[in-house]
Amino acid sequence: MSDDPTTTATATPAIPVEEFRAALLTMLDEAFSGATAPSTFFTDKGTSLFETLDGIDAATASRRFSERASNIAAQVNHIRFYLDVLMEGLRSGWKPADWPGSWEVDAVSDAEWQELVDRLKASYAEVRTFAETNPAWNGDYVGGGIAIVAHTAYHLGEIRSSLAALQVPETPTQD
Amino acid sequence: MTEMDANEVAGAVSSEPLGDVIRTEALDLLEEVFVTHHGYILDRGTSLFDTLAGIDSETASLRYSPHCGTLAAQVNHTRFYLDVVLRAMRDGDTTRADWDSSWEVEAVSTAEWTALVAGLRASYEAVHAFIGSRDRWNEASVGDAMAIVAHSAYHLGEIRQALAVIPLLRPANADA
Repeated sequence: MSDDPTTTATATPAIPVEEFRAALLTMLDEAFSGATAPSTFFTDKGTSLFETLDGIDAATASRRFSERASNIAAQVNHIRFYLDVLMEGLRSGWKPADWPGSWEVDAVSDAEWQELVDRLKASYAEVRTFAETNPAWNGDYVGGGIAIVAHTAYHLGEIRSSLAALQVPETPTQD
Repeated sequence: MTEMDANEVAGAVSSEPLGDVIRTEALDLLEEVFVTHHGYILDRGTSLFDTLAGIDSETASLRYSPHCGTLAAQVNHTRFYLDVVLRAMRDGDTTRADWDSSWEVEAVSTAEWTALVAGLRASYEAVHAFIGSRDRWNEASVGDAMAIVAHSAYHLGEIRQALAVIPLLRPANADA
């Protein structure tokens, strides 16, 4: 079998690279910036990561609703760190990464919060450009692409759950 | 939040057919979200079934926020999604699904909670078997497979974050 890009659009044993790429870009967009199609695959309209972060200020991003949960600012830093580690690994091979360090973000100022979001957007732009232009997809790239979608979705779920949780009183009833 | 495995991330271009690569990678990610660690996105012991194994029916019946369903509803919704997408992939059945109904699960008994988790596991196994046997892929089926992984990961994130909130709620619930 070969990945012949001239193959028809119907299901074939050798899927054209462009069909895989289109599916990956659709999922990346839905996770990060929002679905452009009328229907969505795994999020509700308006709940992508960047749409969610647009509604969060520095004070909210700084709050921890539980000692067992990181704040949203740390979540954003961790998602960005994951993208950077993955892209660096794909480009030049794996190096040990300081995963615990990616969570070490406490309260942020307005400027710090904006910088975290901007850095995430820049890292995502790099990922998206790679997905748009990479000519050959082996297991590392395919797995990396799906992993980025899944990892982002996981933390989007945590962030949106945090936003719901932050509606509960910061100081719970103590008996 | 992850212990990504170097062997899973970088490597040379292979001659393996793309369809086979997609099946292998989709299965690895699916397994990681539901049952076991492969080093892509989760810490060990935090898959969906690992997580649900530590939740009893009382906890599964709590709403951690007025804006969210119970954990039991999250499980039912995740199972419902698998069933809907599997029908679309396998049978071409794109009948409009009643998504709202998938959230209509409130407090559950121990037996009901066990049945919900068992139902989710059965649906996961059906999806895993279907993807594992698929040798023909196109944009739509790749998208469906990725969406199953992403949607399940999203709700795993919601569930695990909810578990950090629920201890704060227990005193109030206990007094109710």
